Amino acid sequence: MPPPYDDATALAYARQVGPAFGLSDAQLPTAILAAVLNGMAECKAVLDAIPQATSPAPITQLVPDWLP
Amino acid sequence: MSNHEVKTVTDSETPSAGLSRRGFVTSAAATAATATGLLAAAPGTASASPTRPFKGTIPDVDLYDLEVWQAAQLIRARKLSPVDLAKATLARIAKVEGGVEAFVNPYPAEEILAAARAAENEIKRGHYRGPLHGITVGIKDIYFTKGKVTEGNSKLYEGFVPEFDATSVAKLKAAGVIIMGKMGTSELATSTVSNAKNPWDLLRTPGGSSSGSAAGIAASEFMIGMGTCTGGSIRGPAANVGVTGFKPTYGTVSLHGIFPLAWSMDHVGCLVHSARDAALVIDAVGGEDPLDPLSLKVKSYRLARDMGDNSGGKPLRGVVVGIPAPGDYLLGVPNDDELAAFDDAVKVIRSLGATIRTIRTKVLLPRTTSVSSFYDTVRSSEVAAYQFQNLLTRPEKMSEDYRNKVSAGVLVPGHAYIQAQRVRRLWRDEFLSMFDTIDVIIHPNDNIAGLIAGGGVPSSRPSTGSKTNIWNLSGAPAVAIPTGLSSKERMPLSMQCAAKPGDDALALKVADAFQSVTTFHQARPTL
Repeated sequence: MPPPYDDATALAYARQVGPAFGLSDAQLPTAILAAVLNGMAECKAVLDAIPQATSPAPITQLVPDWLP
Repeated sequence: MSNHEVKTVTDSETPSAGLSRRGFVTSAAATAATATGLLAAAPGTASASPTRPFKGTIPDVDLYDLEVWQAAQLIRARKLSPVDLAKATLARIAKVEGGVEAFVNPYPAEEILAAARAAENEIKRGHYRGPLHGITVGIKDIYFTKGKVTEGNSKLYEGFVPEFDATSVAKLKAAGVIIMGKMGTSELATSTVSNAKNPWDLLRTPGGSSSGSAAGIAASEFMIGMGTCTGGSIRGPAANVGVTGFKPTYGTVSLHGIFPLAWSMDHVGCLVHSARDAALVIDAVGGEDPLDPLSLKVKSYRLARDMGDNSGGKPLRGVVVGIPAPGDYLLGVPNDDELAAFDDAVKVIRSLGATIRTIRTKVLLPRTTSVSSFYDTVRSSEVAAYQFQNLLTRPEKMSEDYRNKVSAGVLVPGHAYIQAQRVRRLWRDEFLSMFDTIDVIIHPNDNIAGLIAGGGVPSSRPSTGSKTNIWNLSGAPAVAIPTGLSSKERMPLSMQCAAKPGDDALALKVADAFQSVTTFHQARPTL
Protein backbone atom coordinates (compact mmCIF):
# COMPACT_ATOMS: atom_id res chain seq x y z
CA MET A 1 0.00 0.00 0.00
CA PRO A 2 1.46 3.41 -0.90
CA PRO A 3 2.35 5.74 1.94
CA PRO A 4 -0.41 8.12 2.92
CA TYR A 5 -0.43 11.56 1.45
CA ASP A 6 0.72 14.57 3.40
CA ASP A 7 0.09 18.17 2.42
CA ALA A 8 3.26 18.35 0.35
CA THR A 9 2.67 15.18 -1.65
CA ALA A 10 -0.99 16.07 -2.05
CA LEU A 11 0.03 19.44 -3.47
CA ALA A 12 2.38 17.69 -5.88
CA TYR A 13 -0.57 15.59 -7.04
CA ALA A 14 -2.67 18.73 -7.33
CA ARG A 15 -0.04 20.40 -9.50
CA GLN A 16 -0.21 17.45 -11.87
CA VAL A 17 -3.97 17.28 -12.09
CA GLY A 18 -5.08 20.86 -11.44
CA PRO A 19 -4.33 22.34 -14.87
CA ALA A 20 -6.72 19.86 -16.47
CA PHE A 21 -9.48 21.53 -14.48
CA GLY A 22 -8.29 25.06 -15.17
CA LEU A 23 -6.73 25.54 -11.75
CA SER A 24 -3.62 27.63 -11.33
CA ASP A 25 -1.20 27.36 -8.44
CA ALA A 26 -3.15 29.92 -6.42
CA GLN A 27 -6.27 27.77 -6.60
CA LEU A 28 -4.67 24.53 -5.47
CA PRO A 29 -5.31 23.19 -1.98
CA THR A 30 -2.67 23.75 0.66
CA ALA A 31 -4.44 21.38 3.08
CA ILE A 32 -7.41 18.99 3.24
CA LEU A 33 -6.63 17.25 -0.06
CA ALA A 34 -4.31 14.82 1.69
CA ALA A 35 -7.11 13.74 4.02
CA VAL A 36 -9.47 13.32 1.10
CA LEU A 37 -6.98 11.27 -0.90
CA ASN A 38 -6.15 9.10 2.09
CA GLY A 39 -9.84 8.61 2.75
CA MET A 40 -10.24 7.62 -0.86
CA ALA A 41 -7.62 4.92 -0.39
CA GLU A 42 -9.41 3.63 2.70
CA CYS A 43 -12.70 3.49 0.83
CA LYS A 44 -11.00 1.52 -1.92
CA ALA A 45 -9.64 -0.91 0.64
CA VAL A 46 -13.08 -1.42 2.12
CA LEU A 47 -14.63 -2.12 -1.25
CA ASP A 48 -11.76 -4.28 -2.49
CA ALA A 49 -12.37 -6.60 0.44
CA ILE A 50 -15.89 -7.33 -0.80
CA PRO A 51 -16.57 -9.64 -3.72
CA GLN A 52 -17.53 -7.39 -6.62
CA ALA A 53 -20.79 -9.19 -7.21
CA THR A 54 -22.00 -8.41 -3.72
CA SER A 55 -20.46 -4.98 -3.34
CA PRO A 56 -22.82 -2.20 -2.39
CA ALA A 57 -24.46 0.36 -4.60
CA PRO A 58 -23.95 3.94 -3.52
CA ILE A 59 -26.40 5.81 -1.40
CA THR A 60 -28.79 7.43 -3.78
CA GLN A 61 -31.73 7.64 -1.44
CA LEU A 62 -30.39 9.65 1.42
CA VAL A 63 -32.53 8.15 4.12
CA PRO A 64 -33.31 4.48 4.54
CA ASP A 65 -35.94 2.80 2.46
CA TRP A 66 -38.49 2.58 5.26
CA LEU A 67 -39.17 6.31 4.97
CA PRO A 68 -41.31 7.88 2.26
CA MET B 1 -25.94 34.77 45.57
CA SER B 2 -26.83 37.70 43.37
CA ASN B 3 -29.65 37.69 40.94
CA HIS B 4 -27.16 37.45 38.13
CA GLU B 5 -25.33 34.33 39.10
CA VAL B 6 -25.98 30.80 38.11
CA LYS B 7 -25.87 28.41 40.97
CA THR B 8 -22.95 26.06 40.99
CA VAL B 9 -23.73 22.51 40.04
CA THR B 10 -21.78 19.93 41.93
CA ASP B 11 -21.58 16.21 41.60
CA SER B 12 -23.30 15.85 44.92
CA GLU B 13 -26.40 17.61 43.75
CA THR B 14 -29.18 15.67 42.21
CA PRO B 15 -29.68 16.26 38.50
CA SER B 16 -33.01 17.83 39.25
CA ALA B 17 -31.58 20.33 41.69
CA GLY B 18 -32.39 23.80 40.54
CA LEU B 19 -30.12 26.14 38.68
CA SER B 20 -31.36 29.56 39.58
CA ARG B 21 -32.03 32.10 36.90
CA ARG B 22 -31.42 35.76 36.62
CA GLY B 23 -33.49 38.30 38.39
CA PHE B 24 -36.25 39.80 36.37
CA VAL B 25 -37.34 43.12 35.10
CA THR B 26 -40.55 42.18 33.40
CA SER B 27 -41.31 38.74 34.65
CA ALA B 28 -43.44 36.15 32.99
CA ALA B 29 -45.33 35.33 36.15
CA ALA B 30 -46.08 38.98 36.70
CA THR B 31 -47.21 39.22 33.12
CA ALA B 32 -49.45 36.23 33.52
CA ALA B 33 -51.03 37.71 36.58
CA THR B 34 -51.52 41.17 35.19
CA ALA B 35 -54.06 42.23 32.63
CA THR B 36 -52.07 43.59 29.74
CA GLY B 37 -53.49 45.53 26.86
CA LEU B 38 -53.77 42.29 25.00
CA LEU B 39 -55.60 40.58 27.80
CA ALA B 40 -58.05 43.44 27.94
CA ALA B 41 -58.69 43.24 24.23
CA ALA B 42 -61.57 41.71 22.40
CA PRO B 43 -63.04 38.67 24.12
CA GLY B 44 -63.22 35.28 22.52
CA THR B 45 -60.98 32.36 22.12
CA ALA B 46 -58.12 31.88 19.75
CA SER B 47 -59.18 30.50 16.41
CA ALA B 48 -56.31 28.12 15.88
CA SER B 49 -54.62 25.80 18.32
CA PRO B 50 -52.80 23.14 16.33
CA THR B 51 -50.92 21.97 19.38
CA ARG B 52 -52.49 21.33 22.72
CA PRO B 53 -50.86 23.17 25.60
CA PHE B 54 -48.09 21.44 27.45
CA LYS B 55 -48.56 20.89 31.12
CA GLY B 56 -46.44 22.98 33.39
CA THR B 57 -46.31 26.24 35.20
CA ILE B 58 -44.96 29.53 33.96
CA PRO B 59 -41.79 30.36 35.85
CA ASP B 60 -41.07 33.76 37.28
CA VAL B 61 -38.38 34.80 34.83
CA ASP B 62 -37.66 37.57 32.40
CA LEU B 63 -39.93 37.46 29.38
CA TYR B 64 -36.98 36.86 27.07
CA ASP B 65 -35.93 33.88 29.18
CA LEU B 66 -39.16 32.00 28.60
CA GLU B 67 -39.14 28.86 26.53
CA VAL B 68 -41.21 28.96 23.37
CA TRP B 69 -43.93 26.67 24.68
CA GLN B 70 -44.29 28.77 27.81
CA ALA B 71 -44.55 32.06 25.93
CA ALA B 72 -46.92 30.45 23.44
CA GLN B 73 -49.30 29.45 26.21
CA LEU B 74 -49.31 32.98 27.54
CA ILE B 75 -49.74 34.54 24.12
CA ARG B 76 -52.50 32.14 23.18
CA ALA B 77 -54.29 32.92 26.43
CA ARG B 78 -53.76 36.63 25.72
CA LYS B 79 -51.76 37.06 28.88
CA LEU B 80 -48.60 38.03 27.07
CA SER B 81 -48.44 40.70 24.44
CA PRO B 82 -46.11 40.01 21.49
CA VAL B 83 -45.30 43.72 21.59
CA ASP B 84 -44.24 43.50 25.23
CA LEU B 85 -42.16 40.44 24.42
CA ALA B 86 -40.51 42.19 21.48
CA LYS B 87 -39.78 45.27 23.58
CA ALA B 88 -38.26 43.22 26.38
CA THR B 89 -36.16 41.33 23.85
CA LEU B 90 -34.95 44.51 22.16
CA ALA B 91 -33.92 45.85 25.54
CA ARG B 92 -32.11 42.62 26.23
CA ILE B 93 -30.27 42.83 22.91
CA ALA B 94 -29.29 46.43 23.61
CA LYS B 95 -27.83 45.31 26.91
CA VAL B 96 -25.83 42.24 25.89
CA GLU B 97 -25.16 42.28 22.16
CA GLY B 98 -22.11 44.51 22.44
CA GLY B 99 -20.34 41.68 24.23
CA VAL B 100 -21.91 38.69 22.53
CA GLU B 101 -21.82 39.87 18.88
CA ALA B 102 -24.28 37.23 17.78
CA PHE B 103 -25.93 39.32 15.06
CA VAL B 104 -24.50 40.26 11.70
CA ASN B 105 -27.66 42.08 10.64
CA PRO B 106 -30.02 43.04 13.45
CA TYR B 107 -33.32 44.13 12.01
CA PRO B 108 -34.46 47.69 12.82
CA ALA B 109 -36.43 48.03 16.04
CA GLU B 110 -39.32 49.75 14.28
CA GLU B 111 -39.60 46.83 11.86
CA ILE B 112 -39.60 44.32 14.71
CA LEU B 113 -42.19 46.26 16.67
CA ALA B 114 -44.37 46.61 13.58
CA ALA B 115 -44.29 42.83 13.13
CA ALA B 116 -45.09 42.35 16.81
CA ARG B 117 -48.01 44.78 16.59
CA ALA B 118 -49.31 42.94 13.53
CA ALA B 119 -49.13 39.65 15.42
CA GLU B 120 -50.85 41.18 18.40
CA ASN B 121 -53.62 42.65 16.29
CA GLU B 122 -54.20 39.34 14.57
CA ILE B 123 -54.50 37.56 17.87
CA LYS B 124 -56.87 40.25 19.16
CA ARG B 125 -59.03 39.59 16.15
CA GLY B 126 -59.11 35.92 17.04
CA HIS B 127 -56.62 34.72 14.45
CA TYR B 128 -54.03 32.82 16.46
CA ARG B 129 -51.67 31.15 14.03
CA GLY B 130 -50.16 28.63 16.40
CA PRO B 131 -47.40 28.21 18.95
CA LEU B 132 -44.81 30.33 17.13
CA HIS B 133 -47.12 33.32 16.77
CA GLY B 134 -45.34 36.31 18.28
CA ILE B 135 -42.21 34.31 19.17
CA THR B 136 -38.79 35.87 18.57
CA VAL B 137 -36.36 34.25 16.13
CA GLY B 138 -32.78 34.75 14.94
CA ILE B 139 -31.85 33.30 11.55
CA LYS B 140 -28.43 32.06 10.53
CA ASP B 141 -27.11 34.20 7.71
CA ILE B 142 -27.08 31.41 5.16
CA TYR B 143 -30.87 31.33 4.95
CA PHE B 144 -32.17 33.50 2.13
CA THR B 145 -34.33 36.30 3.43
CA LYS B 146 -36.24 38.28 0.84
CA GLY B 147 -35.05 41.87 0.66
CA LYS B 148 -32.49 41.36 3.42
CA VAL B 149 -28.76 41.09 2.95
CA THR B 150 -27.63 37.45 3.11
CA GLU B 151 -23.87 37.01 2.96
CA GLY B 152 -23.07 33.75 4.71
CA ASN B 153 -19.88 35.34 6.06
CA SER B 154 -18.46 35.00 2.56
CA LYS B 155 -16.90 37.63 0.34
CA LEU B 156 -18.49 35.77 -2.56
CA TYR B 157 -21.87 37.06 -1.46
CA GLU B 158 -21.11 40.51 -0.13
CA GLY B 159 -24.22 42.63 -0.47
CA PHE B 160 -26.35 39.77 -1.81
CA VAL B 161 -30.04 40.46 -1.33
CA PRO B 162 -32.22 37.44 -2.15
CA GLU B 163 -35.42 37.93 -4.07
CA PHE B 164 -37.15 35.18 -2.16
CA ASP B 165 -37.26 33.62 1.26
CA ALA B 166 -35.92 30.18 2.00
CA THR B 167 -38.87 27.83 2.33
CA SER B 168 -38.21 27.50 6.04
CA VAL B 169 -38.14 31.27 6.46
CA ALA B 170 -41.41 31.57 4.56
CA LYS B 171 -42.92 28.96 6.87
CA LEU B 172 -41.66 30.78 9.93
CA LYS B 173 -43.24 33.98 8.68
CA ALA B 174 -46.48 32.14 8.00
CA ALA B 175 -46.34 30.87 11.57
CA GLY B 176 -46.25 34.47 12.77
CA VAL B 177 -42.74 34.72 14.21
CA ILE B 178 -40.97 37.97 14.91
CA ILE B 179 -37.59 37.91 13.16
CA MET B 180 -34.97 39.80 15.14
CA GLY B 181 -32.25 39.61 12.50
CA LYS B 182 -29.60 37.54 10.80
CA MET B 183 -27.05 35.69 12.86
CA GLY B 184 -23.34 35.12 12.46
CA THR B 185 -22.13 31.95 10.78
CA SER B 186 -18.87 30.38 9.84
CA GLU B 187 -18.05 31.13 6.21
CA LEU B 188 -20.77 29.31 4.26
CA ALA B 189 -21.26 27.06 7.27
CA THR B 190 -17.77 25.61 7.30
CA SER B 191 -14.73 27.89 7.42
CA THR B 192 -13.85 31.37 8.74
CA VAL B 193 -15.58 31.86 12.07
CA SER B 194 -17.97 34.67 12.92
CA ASN B 195 -17.39 37.24 15.65
CA ALA B 196 -19.89 35.61 18.00
CA LYS B 197 -18.77 34.98 21.58
CA ASN B 198 -19.83 32.31 24.04
CA PRO B 199 -22.20 33.97 26.54
CA TRP B 200 -20.90 31.71 29.31
CA ASP B 201 -17.41 33.12 28.85
CA LEU B 202 -16.88 35.86 26.31
CA LEU B 203 -13.29 34.73 25.85
CA ARG B 204 -14.54 31.44 24.50
CA THR B 205 -16.10 30.51 21.19
CA PRO B 206 -19.67 29.27 20.80
CA GLY B 207 -18.30 26.98 18.11
CA GLY B 208 -19.66 26.79 14.63
CA SER B 209 -21.02 26.96 12.24
CA SER B 210 -24.33 28.15 13.69
CA SER B 211 -22.36 30.40 16.02
CA GLY B 212 -24.60 33.48 16.07
CA SER B 213 -27.75 31.45 16.52
CA ALA B 214 -26.11 29.63 19.43
CA ALA B 215 -24.71 32.72 21.09
CA GLY B 216 -27.95 34.62 20.63
CA ILE B 217 -30.24 31.97 22.12
CA ALA B 218 -27.89 31.42 25.03
CA ALA B 219 -27.80 35.18 25.67
CA SER B 220 -31.62 35.30 25.50
CA GLU B 221 -31.62 37.59 22.47
CA PHE B 222 -34.44 35.52 20.94
CA MET B 223 -36.28 32.28 21.67
CA ILE B 224 -35.43 30.33 18.53
CA GLY B 225 -32.12 30.27 16.71
CA MET B 226 -32.38 28.74 13.26
CA GLY B 227 -29.30 26.78 12.29
CA THR B 228 -28.00 24.32 9.75
CA CYS B 229 -25.87 21.27 10.27
CA THR B 230 -23.65 19.27 7.90
CA GLY B 231 -21.34 17.70 10.45
CA GLY B 232 -22.44 19.06 13.81
CA SER B 233 -23.06 22.76 13.31
CA ILE B 234 -26.21 22.75 15.44
CA ARG B 235 -25.42 20.23 18.17
CA GLY B 236 -21.82 21.32 18.64
CA PRO B 237 -22.60 24.97 19.30
CA ALA B 238 -25.66 23.97 21.32
CA ALA B 239 -23.42 21.90 23.57
CA ASN B 240 -20.92 24.73 23.87
CA VAL B 241 -23.49 27.28 25.01
CA GLY B 242 -25.77 25.06 27.09
CA VAL B 243 -28.88 25.00 24.94
CA THR B 244 -30.90 22.37 23.13
CA GLY B 245 -29.95 21.79 19.51
CA PHE B 246 -31.98 19.55 17.23
CA LYS B 247 -31.20 18.13 13.83
CA PRO B 248 -34.21 16.18 12.55
CA THR B 249 -34.17 13.28 10.11
CA TYR B 250 -32.57 14.18 6.79
CA GLY B 251 -35.12 15.76 4.47
CA THR B 252 -37.56 16.78 7.19
CA VAL B 253 -37.07 20.49 6.49
CA SER B 254 -36.56 21.92 3.03
CA LEU B 255 -33.08 23.08 2.07
CA HIS B 256 -34.47 25.37 -0.62
CA GLY B 257 -33.07 28.87 -0.29
CA ILE B 258 -30.12 28.00 1.92
CA PHE B 259 -26.50 28.14 0.78
CA PRO B 260 -25.51 24.48 0.47
CA LEU B 261 -22.38 22.97 1.88
CA ALA B 262 -22.99 19.31 1.05
CA TRP B 263 -26.50 18.54 -0.11
CA SER B 264 -26.51 14.92 1.03
CA MET B 265 -25.58 15.84 4.60
CA ASP B 266 -27.07 19.32 5.04
CA HIS B 267 -29.85 19.53 7.60
CA VAL B 268 -32.03 22.39 8.78
CA GLY B 269 -32.65 22.51 12.51
CA CYS B 270 -32.89 24.77 15.49
CA LEU B 271 -31.23 25.90 18.70
CA VAL B 272 -33.72 26.45 21.48
CA HIS B 273 -33.97 25.95 25.20
CA SER B 274 -35.90 22.70 25.31
CA ALA B 275 -36.90 19.63 23.37
CA ARG B 276 -40.50 20.81 23.50
CA ASP B 277 -39.48 23.98 21.74
CA ALA B 278 -37.56 22.04 19.13
CA ALA B 279 -40.62 19.95 18.34
CA LEU B 280 -42.73 23.06 17.89
CA VAL B 281 -40.18 24.60 15.53
CA ILE B 282 -39.86 21.54 13.33
CA ASP B 283 -43.65 21.15 13.24
CA ALA B 284 -43.79 24.69 11.84
CA VAL B 285 -40.99 24.50 9.27
CA GLY B 286 -40.99 20.81 8.30
CA GLY B 287 -42.75 19.14 5.43
CA GLU B 288 -42.43 18.29 1.77
CA ASP B 289 -41.30 21.07 -0.49
CA PRO B 290 -41.67 20.78 -4.26
CA LEU B 291 -38.73 23.17 -4.53
CA ASP B 292 -36.46 20.72 -2.69
CA PRO B 293 -36.38 17.29 -4.32
CA LEU B 294 -34.49 15.97 -1.31
CA SER B 295 -37.29 16.76 1.11
CA LEU B 296 -39.27 13.80 2.40
CA LYS B 297 -42.75 13.17 1.04
CA VAL B 298 -44.38 14.04 4.32
CA LYS B 299 -46.92 16.83 4.19
CA SER B 300 -46.44 18.02 7.74
CA TYR B 301 -45.09 16.95 11.10
CA ARG B 302 -46.61 16.75 14.56
CA LEU B 303 -43.61 15.99 16.67
CA ALA B 304 -44.92 17.97 19.65
CA ARG B 305 -47.97 15.76 19.73
CA ASP B 306 -46.16 12.55 18.87
CA MET B 307 -43.56 12.85 21.61
CA GLY B 308 -46.38 12.79 24.12
CA ASP B 309 -46.77 14.21 27.59
CA ASN B 310 -43.62 13.44 29.52
CA SER B 311 -44.22 15.59 32.52
CA GLY B 312 -45.03 13.03 35.17
CA GLY B 313 -44.67 9.48 36.37
CA LYS B 314 -42.72 7.08 34.20
CA PRO B 315 -43.07 8.57 30.73
CA LEU B 316 -40.27 6.41 29.30
CA ARG B 317 -41.80 3.10 30.32
CA GLY B 318 -41.61 0.86 27.26
CA VAL B 319 -38.78 2.84 25.68
CA VAL B 320 -35.48 1.00 25.30
CA VAL B 321 -32.61 3.44 25.63
CA GLY B 322 -29.15 2.34 24.59
CA ILE B 323 -25.98 3.52 26.26
CA PRO B 324 -22.48 2.91 24.88
CA ALA B 325 -20.54 0.06 26.44
CA PRO B 326 -17.27 0.85 28.23
CA GLY B 327 -14.60 1.50 25.61
CA ASP B 328 -17.15 2.28 22.91
CA TYR B 329 -16.33 5.02 20.40
CA LEU B 330 -19.24 7.10 21.67
CA LEU B 331 -17.73 7.20 25.16
CA GLY B 332 -14.40 8.39 23.80
CA VAL B 333 -14.76 11.80 25.38
CA PRO B 334 -11.74 13.69 26.68
CA ASN B 335 -13.39 15.37 29.63
CA ASP B 336 -14.21 13.54 32.85
CA ASP B 337 -16.91 16.04 33.80
CA GLU B 338 -18.74 15.26 30.59
CA LEU B 339 -18.68 11.55 31.39
CA ALA B 340 -19.74 12.08 35.00
CA ALA B 341 -22.65 14.25 33.90
CA PHE B 342 -23.62 11.57 31.42
CA ASP B 343 -23.57 8.87 34.09
CA ASP B 344 -25.90 11.02 36.16
CA ALA B 345 -28.14 11.53 33.15
CA VAL B 346 -28.40 7.78 32.63
CA LYS B 347 -29.67 7.43 36.19
CA VAL B 348 -32.33 10.03 35.49
CA ILE B 349 -33.40 8.33 32.26
CA ARG B 350 -33.64 5.03 34.10
CA SER B 351 -35.70 6.62 36.86
CA LEU B 352 -38.17 7.78 34.24
CA GLY B 353 -39.03 4.19 33.40
CA ALA B 354 -36.77 3.56 30.43
CA THR B 355 -35.18 0.19 29.93
CA ILE B 356 -31.45 0.82 29.73
CA ARG B 357 -29.49 -1.46 27.44
CA THR B 358 -25.73 -1.32 27.08
CA ILE B 359 -24.63 -1.69 23.47
CA ARG B 360 -21.51 -1.71 21.35
CA THR B 361 -21.90 0.66 18.42
CA LYS B 362 -20.31 0.20 15.01
CA VAL B 363 -19.01 3.68 14.30
CA LEU B 364 -15.87 2.54 12.51
CA LEU B 365 -15.84 0.12 9.61
CA PRO B 366 -12.93 -2.30 9.39
CA ARG B 367 -10.10 -0.82 7.27
CA THR B 368 -11.12 2.74 8.05
CA THR B 369 -9.55 5.01 10.62
CA SER B 370 -12.43 7.47 10.77
CA VAL B 371 -15.77 8.24 9.21
CA SER B 372 -13.91 11.20 7.74
CA SER B 373 -12.55 8.72 5.22
CA PHE B 374 -15.80 9.06 3.34
CA TYR B 375 -17.28 12.17 4.99
CA ASP B 376 -14.48 14.43 3.68
CA THR B 377 -14.76 13.13 0.14
CA VAL B 378 -18.52 13.55 0.10
CA ARG B 379 -18.33 17.05 1.55
CA SER B 380 -15.56 18.28 -0.72
CA SER B 381 -17.07 16.76 -3.86
CA GLU B 382 -20.47 18.28 -3.19
CA VAL B 383 -19.21 21.73 -2.26
CA ALA B 384 -16.94 21.63 -5.33
CA ALA B 385 -19.96 20.97 -7.49
CA TYR B 386 -21.63 24.11 -6.15
CA GLN B 387 -18.60 26.38 -6.09
CA PHE B 388 -16.43 25.23 -9.03
CA GLN B 389 -17.22 28.27 -11.15
CA ASN B 390 -16.47 30.62 -8.27
CA LEU B 391 -13.20 28.79 -7.67
CA LEU B 392 -12.23 29.42 -11.28
CA THR B 393 -13.29 33.04 -11.45
CA ARG B 394 -13.16 34.50 -7.93
CA PRO B 395 -10.88 32.38 -5.76
CA GLU B 396 -9.72 35.49 -3.91
CA LYS B 397 -13.23 35.76 -2.45
CA MET B 398 -12.76 32.50 -0.57
CA SER B 399 -10.76 32.03 2.60
CA GLU B 400 -7.86 29.62 2.25
CA ASP B 401 -9.68 26.98 4.28
CA TYR B 402 -12.86 27.23 2.22
CA ARG B 403 -10.90 27.26 -1.04
CA ASN B 404 -9.05 24.14 0.09
CA LYS B 405 -12.30 22.30 0.68
CA VAL B 406 -13.62 23.27 -2.74
CA SER B 407 -10.47 22.58 -4.71
CA ALA B 408 -9.91 19.23 -2.99
CA GLY B 409 -13.31 18.21 -4.30
CA VAL B 410 -12.42 19.33 -7.80
CA LEU B 411 -9.24 17.29 -7.82
CA VAL B 412 -10.54 13.90 -6.72
CA PRO B 413 -11.96 11.78 -9.54
CA GLY B 414 -15.68 11.33 -9.90
CA HIS B 415 -15.54 7.68 -9.03
CA ALA B 416 -14.03 8.58 -5.65
CA TYR B 417 -17.26 10.32 -4.74
CA ILE B 418 -19.26 7.28 -5.76
CA GLN B 419 -16.90 5.01 -3.84
CA ALA B 420 -17.35 7.17 -0.77
CA GLN B 421 -21.13 6.95 -1.13
CA ARG B 422 -20.89 3.17 -1.51
CA VAL B 423 -18.87 2.91 1.69
CA ARG B 424 -21.26 5.34 3.34
CA ARG B 425 -24.09 2.97 2.52
CA LEU B 426 -22.25 0.01 4.04
CA TRP B 427 -21.37 2.07 7.08
CA ARG B 428 -24.88 3.46 7.51
CA ASP B 429 -26.50 0.04 7.49
CA GLU B 430 -24.00 -1.23 10.05
CA PHE B 431 -24.20 1.87 12.19
CA LEU B 432 -27.97 2.08 12.29
CA SER B 433 -28.29 -1.61 13.08
CA MET B 434 -28.04 -0.57 16.73
CA PHE B 435 -31.69 0.40 16.44
CA ASP B 436 -32.63 -3.24 15.87
CA THR B 437 -32.41 -3.65 19.64
CA ILE B 438 -32.93 -0.16 21.05
CA ASP B 439 -35.28 2.74 20.38
CA VAL B 440 -33.01 5.62 21.29
CA ILE B 441 -29.32 5.94 22.04
CA ILE B 442 -27.92 8.52 24.42
CA HIS B 443 -24.26 9.45 24.55
CA PRO B 444 -22.12 12.30 25.81
CA ASN B 445 -21.08 15.14 23.59
CA ASP B 446 -17.44 16.04 23.77
CA ASN B 447 -17.68 19.74 23.34
CA ILE B 448 -16.37 22.07 25.98
CA ALA B 449 -15.96 25.42 24.33
CA GLY B 450 -12.40 26.40 23.55
CA LEU B 451 -10.80 29.77 23.96
CA ILE B 452 -11.11 32.13 21.01
CA ALA B 453 -7.42 32.92 21.35
CA GLY B 454 -6.67 29.23 21.00
CA GLY B 455 -6.22 26.39 23.41
CA GLY B 456 -8.75 23.90 24.53
CA VAL B 457 -9.62 22.22 27.76
CA PRO B 458 -6.75 20.19 29.20
CA SER B 459 -7.38 16.49 28.92
CA SER B 460 -5.61 13.31 29.74
CA ARG B 461 -6.79 11.57 26.57
CA PRO B 462 -7.86 12.43 23.05
CA SER B 463 -11.36 12.21 21.67
CA THR B 464 -12.16 9.16 19.57
CA GLY B 465 -13.56 11.52 16.96
CA SER B 466 -16.66 13.45 16.06
CA LYS B 467 -19.82 12.52 17.95
CA THR B 468 -21.93 14.65 15.64
CA ASN B 469 -21.14 13.99 11.97
CA ILE B 470 -22.18 10.35 12.33
CA TRP B 471 -25.76 11.54 12.66
CA ASN B 472 -25.41 13.66 9.52
CA LEU B 473 -23.92 10.81 7.52
CA SER B 474 -26.70 8.48 8.67
CA GLY B 475 -29.50 11.03 8.31
CA ALA B 476 -30.78 10.09 11.75
CA PRO B 477 -32.37 12.59 14.15
CA ALA B 478 -30.28 13.78 17.08
CA VAL B 479 -30.83 16.32 19.79
CA ALA B 480 -28.16 17.78 22.07
CA ILE B 481 -29.30 18.77 25.55
CA PRO B 482 -27.47 20.32 28.51
CA THR B 483 -26.36 18.06 31.36
CA GLY B 484 -24.63 20.49 33.70
CA LEU B 485 -21.54 22.65 34.02
CA SER B 486 -17.91 21.60 34.08
CA SER B 487 -16.28 21.73 37.49
CA LYS B 488 -13.34 23.96 36.64
CA GLU B 489 -14.29 26.12 33.67
CA ARG B 490 -17.97 26.34 34.61
CA MET B 491 -18.86 25.72 30.99
CA PRO B 492 -21.87 23.76 29.74
CA LEU B 493 -21.85 19.98 29.38
CA SER B 494 -24.11 18.10 27.02
CA MET B 495 -25.35 14.77 25.74
CA GLN B 496 -27.17 13.65 22.63
CA CYS B 497 -30.31 11.60 22.19
CA ALA B 498 -30.59 9.99 18.77
CA ALA B 499 -32.95 7.55 17.08
CA LYS B 500 -33.28 5.88 13.73
CA PRO B 501 -34.43 8.02 10.81
CA GLY B 502 -38.09 8.83 11.17
CA ASP B 503 -38.13 8.35 14.93
CA ASP B 504 -37.59 12.01 15.70
CA ALA B 505 -40.41 12.09 18.21
CA LEU B 506 -38.81 9.25 20.19
CA ALA B 507 -35.46 11.04 20.45
CA LEU B 508 -37.26 14.20 21.52
CA LYS B 509 -39.41 12.27 23.96
CA VAL B 510 -36.37 11.05 25.86
CA ALA B 511 -34.91 14.56 25.86
CA ASP B 512 -38.20 16.09 26.97
CA ALA B 513 -38.67 13.58 29.76
CA PHE B 514 -35.15 14.33 30.99
CA GLN B 515 -35.81 18.06 30.89
CA SER B 516 -39.12 17.59 32.68
CA VAL B 517 -37.29 16.49 35.82
CA THR B 518 -34.03 18.42 35.52
CA THR B 519 -33.24 22.11 35.27
CA PHE B 520 -29.97 22.23 33.35
CA HIS B 521 -31.73 23.63 30.29
CA GLN B 522 -33.07 26.47 32.41
CA ALA B 523 -29.64 27.77 33.37
CA ARG B 524 -28.68 31.07 31.83
CA PRO B 525 -25.23 32.67 31.72
CA THR B 526 -24.34 35.80 33.59
CA LEU B 527 -24.03 38.74 31.22
